[in-house]
Amino acid sequence: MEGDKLQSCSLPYWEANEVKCRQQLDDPRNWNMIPSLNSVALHKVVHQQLVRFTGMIQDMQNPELFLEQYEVRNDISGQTAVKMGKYRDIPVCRLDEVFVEDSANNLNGQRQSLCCVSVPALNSWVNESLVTEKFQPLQCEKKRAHPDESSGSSETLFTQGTSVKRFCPYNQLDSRNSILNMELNVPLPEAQVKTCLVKVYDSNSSLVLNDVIEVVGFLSVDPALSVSSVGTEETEEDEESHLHNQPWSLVPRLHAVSFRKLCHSNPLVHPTLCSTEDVREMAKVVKQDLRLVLSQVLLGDHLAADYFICHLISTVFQHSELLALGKFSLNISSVSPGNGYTTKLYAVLAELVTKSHYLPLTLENLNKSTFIPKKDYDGNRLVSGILQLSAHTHLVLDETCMEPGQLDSNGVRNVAALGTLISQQKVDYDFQFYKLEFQTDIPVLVLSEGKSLLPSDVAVPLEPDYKCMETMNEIFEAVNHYLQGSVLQKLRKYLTVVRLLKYSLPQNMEKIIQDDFVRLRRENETKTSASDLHLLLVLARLVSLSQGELILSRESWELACNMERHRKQRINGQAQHP
Amino acid sequence: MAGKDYISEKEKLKQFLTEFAAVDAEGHKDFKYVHHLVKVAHREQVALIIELDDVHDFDSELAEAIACNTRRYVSIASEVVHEILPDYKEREVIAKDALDVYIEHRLLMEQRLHQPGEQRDVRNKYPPELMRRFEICFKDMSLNKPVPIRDVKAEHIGKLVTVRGIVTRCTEVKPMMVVATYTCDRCGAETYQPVNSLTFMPLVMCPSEDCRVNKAGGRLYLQTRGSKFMKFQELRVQEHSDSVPVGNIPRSLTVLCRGETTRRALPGDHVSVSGIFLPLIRAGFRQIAQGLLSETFMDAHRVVRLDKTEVDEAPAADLTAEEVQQLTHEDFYSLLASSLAPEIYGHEDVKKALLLLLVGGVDRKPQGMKIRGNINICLMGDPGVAKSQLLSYIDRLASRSQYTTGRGSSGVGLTAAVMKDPLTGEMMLEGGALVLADQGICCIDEFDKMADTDRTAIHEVMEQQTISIAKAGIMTSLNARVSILAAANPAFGRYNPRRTIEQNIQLPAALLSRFDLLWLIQDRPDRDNDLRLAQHITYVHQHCKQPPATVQALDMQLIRRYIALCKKQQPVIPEELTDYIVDSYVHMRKEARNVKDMTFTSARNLLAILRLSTALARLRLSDQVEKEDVNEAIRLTEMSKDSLNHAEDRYGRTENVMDKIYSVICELAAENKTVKVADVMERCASKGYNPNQAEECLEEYEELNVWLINQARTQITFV
Repeated sequence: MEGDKLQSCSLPYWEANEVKCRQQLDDPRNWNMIPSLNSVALHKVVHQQLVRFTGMIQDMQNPELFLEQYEVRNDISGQTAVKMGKYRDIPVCRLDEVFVEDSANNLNGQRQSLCCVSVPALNSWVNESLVTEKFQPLQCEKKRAHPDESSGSSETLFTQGTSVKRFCPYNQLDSRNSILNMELNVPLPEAQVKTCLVKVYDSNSSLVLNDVIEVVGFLSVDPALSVSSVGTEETEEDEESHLHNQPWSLVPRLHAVSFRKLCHSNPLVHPTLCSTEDVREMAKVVKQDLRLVLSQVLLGDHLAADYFICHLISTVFQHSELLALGKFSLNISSVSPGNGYTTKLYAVLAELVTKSHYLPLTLENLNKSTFIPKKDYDGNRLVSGILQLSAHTHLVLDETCMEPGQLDSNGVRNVAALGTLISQQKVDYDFQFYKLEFQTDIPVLVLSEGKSLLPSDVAVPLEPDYKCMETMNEIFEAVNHYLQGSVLQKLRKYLTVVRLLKYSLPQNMEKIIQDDFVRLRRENETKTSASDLHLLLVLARLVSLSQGELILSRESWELACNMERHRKQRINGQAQHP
Repeated sequence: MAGKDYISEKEKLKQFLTEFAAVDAEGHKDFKYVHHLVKVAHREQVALIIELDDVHDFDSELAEAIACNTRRYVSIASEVVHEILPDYKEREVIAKDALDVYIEHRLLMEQRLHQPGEQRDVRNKYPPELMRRFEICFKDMSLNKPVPIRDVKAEHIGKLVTVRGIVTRCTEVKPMMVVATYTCDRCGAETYQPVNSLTFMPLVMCPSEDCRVNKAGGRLYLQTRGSKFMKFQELRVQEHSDSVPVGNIPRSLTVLCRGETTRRALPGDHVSVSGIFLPLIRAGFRQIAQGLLSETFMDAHRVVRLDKTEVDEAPAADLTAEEVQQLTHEDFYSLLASSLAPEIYGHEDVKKALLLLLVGGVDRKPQGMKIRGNINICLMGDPGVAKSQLLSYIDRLASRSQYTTGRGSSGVGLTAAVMKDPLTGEMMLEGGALVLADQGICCIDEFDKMADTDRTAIHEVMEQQTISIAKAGIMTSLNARVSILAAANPAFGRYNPRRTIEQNIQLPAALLSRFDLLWLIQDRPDRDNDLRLAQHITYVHQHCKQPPATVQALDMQLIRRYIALCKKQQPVIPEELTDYIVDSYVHMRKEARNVKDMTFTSARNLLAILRLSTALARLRLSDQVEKEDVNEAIRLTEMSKDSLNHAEDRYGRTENVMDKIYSVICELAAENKTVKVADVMERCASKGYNPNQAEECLEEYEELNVWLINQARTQITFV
């Protein structure tokens, strides 16, 4: 099979047949055959092998100048030869060859090095299905023939690599992890983290920080590289050079030949969203299932479940100077604390979405942890913080575990950062001399007992059914039982696909919306403002999409208006009868 | 390599240095480089700065060649200067340091040692670097735009580039060896080794004639005092935040400074650096380790610190014809105003006022009294009407500004505080936001929540434009020539039109009257406005962009430059307008007395009108205030009063004539239960309502059973 060739393709072979190799790479079958660094242990792959890596861009270093071509002269014969420097770290010089410094054949090139970390907050089911993807061929990959024996070797790599990780007791890892995390510089403390230094040769790539990318490239784990970190001179650059030249065993380098941005991390859905029509067609049915599950989880509150669905599929579709259109942060209040409800709720959420992070807002968490990424000029790197998350990572803030106490200055900053994240979907990274704004797309769910101290787009006070309150544990057991196999797969696919659908607001709806707004402004005692209209339009969009409709219909608009009316009534009702 | 004739280039440079003369206004020739050379010859100046602008005037090809291959030309220029320098020596120079003495002695020694017949230049044997006490720097052409750090790439290697950025790191200034001098322990001969890179390999064996012939194997010892060192400093310059593309990490550049370019900047400074972009050659072990990579750095020729205004403002004269075209639009006043915070919908008058705040009026100092020209504006309003957004936009737009909240700023606060220096234990003064914003704009959000100490100080700032400090033995007065842009929330959450402003924002009238304009931004339902707003928002959601406005918003940079240009104007109010202004003011006072006014009209309003009209004249780039300016100023003042006085229309009903007449009648009735119709008619007439309207009103309210009118229709009795 062709793919095998690509797997064992060496760098000289690639250079000789670049066009052909690229064509082969375009075929997703070949692409997927390439071993992935995310699941294969590093010692199973060799230097200058083609490997894959999926990760989030955590930091971008200064571009490097390198020699694309260089000349060597043989000391003995005096002959010169031109060699290629692309995709390499170390020049290939035999002992009897001398590097010609001032040759006209030396060609300078520029490459960009990106620090990538494995996607933070990825839920365990995604990792697991990445590993097992070979054994359960996906719909879009059904055409692919079962891997024959010759590629079996890589399969064993997959399983071995993961089994090692899976059975690693978490506790043992812990102490080592804290040091590792500091060195590796990842946003969230996680059990399995991989970092990778990716060198990109495409100068006009539009990659930005926090993008999730999948890279195919030549692995560079030459032992000579790690030597460089054993500096002999005591200079100020030492820390910097140490951090930038970490041993390859910790931070492998990858010389990218090809990469692509990923718009989602769901292994059940094709990366470029092809063949997702069926999901859209089934959307209405699946939504009912989801609503059923969520309304049970939310203790019988159907309105909250509706809002929850909209929250799960929300995405920022437009960032402008002051507005982030499409954000839909949710605050579910009246959650009774102390009965483990929030963690159970989160567990269900984590089963459904690909990326999520649960953050209890305890005083210790707020005061001690770093939320905002900060530039470290001594090490010349960006020190990550919790809020450095890739798009569509659900952040669940649990306010119910908050206790009275004192916030220190760090805590105040962190709370303010959460506030701007929610209200403007941006995080101001700290570059010490100035702050730099980075746009985010992180749906935030706040669970609180009373009104949240953080802003939110939508606040829904939970109105639990008393029956459900009593049988809470049974409900969660039942839900977990229900959420299995094909049902679960269906819901996961639905959530990913629906979020990324293209949506449009037809001309004929404009008039209706405008008239409704003017009417709302007039009749409503509780004022309707411009932001309410923004919210209504976003809600209408999400309601439409959740039903698989690409165009706003009158029904969806009215549904959205109704939802808002019910919600406002509920809030007013609560205000009057606390 | 194409063999360039460097000998002729050298001649050209020589000619340039000796012959270049700038002709000043009176036609005198100023041989500026000759002057410099004289100074350098007398050791009064170290750096010889060659401006490429001048070279360009002299020979454009040469200037280009220098910019492209700067390193080479630095050495050529050094040679030239070295050769011609003795000719400019007019008197004996007193040796300044050990190295000068050394050089002198070495020259003498050389002369003495040589055979009298031998025709040789005396300085030949010593490496030229050792004998030179000057440095050559090139100054980039002023027309050359700074290159963004992001765009400094491989093709810039060896060229002179100018970049701008912020210094993030700088090392201590250390001596760097330029020429190492050794003495031999056997023959005593001196050996010299020029050092060009960051590292060097010391010589061990004596290469002198004596030792070589005798095979004495003399060892060399480094002689610190005889060597030449140079000041050396490494900087790291990072991109400005506004030149970083969205979602990218700022890039940085290493800058090596030598000699006179050191100690020019500290971390946090904004700098402009011109220098040669070069690859850094590491030697020995590191070279192997770095492999195919070459680190790059910039060899600084010129490091200039910029303050914030310089960073932001290109010279205002640089407005191109196209931009002028854009600005000399028919209605450029509204265009400029609507270009402020284009995302915020509506509020044209508020934006116009903010534009005038940016431009500012003219300061006056008649007989020592100081009348401020800065315009203070206070925005009040219901929560969520984009006050803070307007403030932060102005903060970004203004070339010098501070953004703070009344409560947020801790410690130093708004004014100034006396702090104890933790190191020396001395008391020192630290300026607050108002001091830091001197000659700029201070945006204060949550003005009403200001601390009491600041509140007292702000009175002084707003009229006298100074801050007096009398704390801990420090008594001083600091300048705070700021325009204050404040935003305040009403005390009861909502603006209550039935109360006065003082009650509404809980600030004393003395403070409020210091604001030239007070705007109440209210959010009230109004069919037309709502519809337009709805259209706007639906458009944004539909097309993911701002709707195409009838006027295209101007670029922020352009506005900034235009405002800088406006600020240069010093318009005066012509004699013939004084009467008009006085009349208008008297009229306003009368109005204020007649109508039940929630605001106050005082002499401060007159000053406000003057300030606004001078600002308007500045905006037109005119040096004389015209009647239209005064009218517009009065209009803005009126509008701002209106926004306060007619706040009661908030519940969707525009107050119609009926309501007004009703209120007139109520006023007339006051405590009494009855009013005479004749009185009502008279009062209505004086207020400008015709009798029919009054009649109508009487009937309408009679139907509503508000009052009874007797048969003869002469008396009204309230129910």
